[in-house]
Amino acid sequence: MTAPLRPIILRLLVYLTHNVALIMIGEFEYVLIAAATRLGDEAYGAAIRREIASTTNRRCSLGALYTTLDRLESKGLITTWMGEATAQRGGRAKRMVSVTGQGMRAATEFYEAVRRVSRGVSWATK
Amino acid sequence: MGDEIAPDMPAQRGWRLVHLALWLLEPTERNAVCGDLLESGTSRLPALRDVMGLAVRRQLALWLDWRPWVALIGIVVPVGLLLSHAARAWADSHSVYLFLYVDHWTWLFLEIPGARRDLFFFAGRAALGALALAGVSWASGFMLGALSRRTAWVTLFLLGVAVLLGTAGTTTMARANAFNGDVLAMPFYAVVFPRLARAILVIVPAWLGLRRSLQGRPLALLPLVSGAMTIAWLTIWPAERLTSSILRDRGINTIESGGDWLIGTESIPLAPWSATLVALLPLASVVTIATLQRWHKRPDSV
Repeated sequence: MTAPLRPIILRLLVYLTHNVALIMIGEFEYVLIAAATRLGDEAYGAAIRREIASTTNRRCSLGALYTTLDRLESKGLITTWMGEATAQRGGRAKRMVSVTGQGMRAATEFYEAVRRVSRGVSWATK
Repeated sequence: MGDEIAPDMPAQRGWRLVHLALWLLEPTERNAVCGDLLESGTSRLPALRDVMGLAVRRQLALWLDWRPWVALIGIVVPVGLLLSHAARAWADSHSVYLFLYVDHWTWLFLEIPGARRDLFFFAGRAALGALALAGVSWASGFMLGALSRRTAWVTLFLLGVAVLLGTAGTTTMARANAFNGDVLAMPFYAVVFPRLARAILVIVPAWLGLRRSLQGRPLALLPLVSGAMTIAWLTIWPAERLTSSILRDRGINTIESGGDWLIGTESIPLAPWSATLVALLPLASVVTIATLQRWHKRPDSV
């Protein structure tokens, strides 16, 4: 009786506990983690946005960036804190970003999954 | 206001909108977003789109919680509509006296004993009605802040909309009375005074209540309980008249009087008390919150 319910209960538990080991991160989450990792100590809102725009050739909206940062932080994949203010920013503080070990693992898992699923696939267009 | 956020941002019209939109964000995020916009040299329209996009996403995320919905369904809709009707009924029923005593003031009103009695009676009734409206509105605003701090300004805005538009397409007994026709045909008494009453007696007290709630300081229990009891009495006292007025305004009535002394409300369960119950809900909630705050402050409490 409980067997058919098991996947549902498992999914519910995963949702409640934000267990990223069982559910993969999304595409934009991966892009954001990758950009933050590339930037290292210089990872903050505006810099990540520039990095994403230059590497993907797509505009990254502030709304998408900040809400995804919040989501990743609530999952424990990144940590954020308010950094120093600079004159270039009109004396405004930066929201600094650091990828956690759990975030690294989640990104690796996503990347490996994409690599595995792409193996033997040809994207040559007609 | 906006200049305090971003002194380096241009003071053109488009940027003023960006400044205003930034106020929709939490202070810490506002700071970071403002810095990001300055650093990236975003032009005003994309900046406005970015800030509004973020603000909308933030609000939508907040509405995934149950508390804003409780505020909306429990306070904004029922209390907003009630206060809308009550404030307009208050304004319309006092328009004639305002016209008489303000537009046609003479010291004879104080010198002649009968006129003096009437003046004090109507002024007192108007003041008590205004106090009841302001009290219930303050408690409603307080509850909006207590139920959901981060959506409080949105729910207050919606309460304002409910209060201002809640009586659209309806009328009042005072307006239906042909003897009031000349006074209530004047633009000030027909349009301006009812709106002023809603703004001053409902929206401003609700805003003050919400601000008080967001300050997070405990409420003084004794003044609150005595104030709530007074407001409750002032609400119960005209309850039947008010309910009857609302029902009439909305066309839910018959000419024959019901057994409950209200015109045409005999078949509607709890009709005479429904307005009172709706009005007492925020009052009782505020008193409960203050009592709980007091209880938790007690050193010997567990």
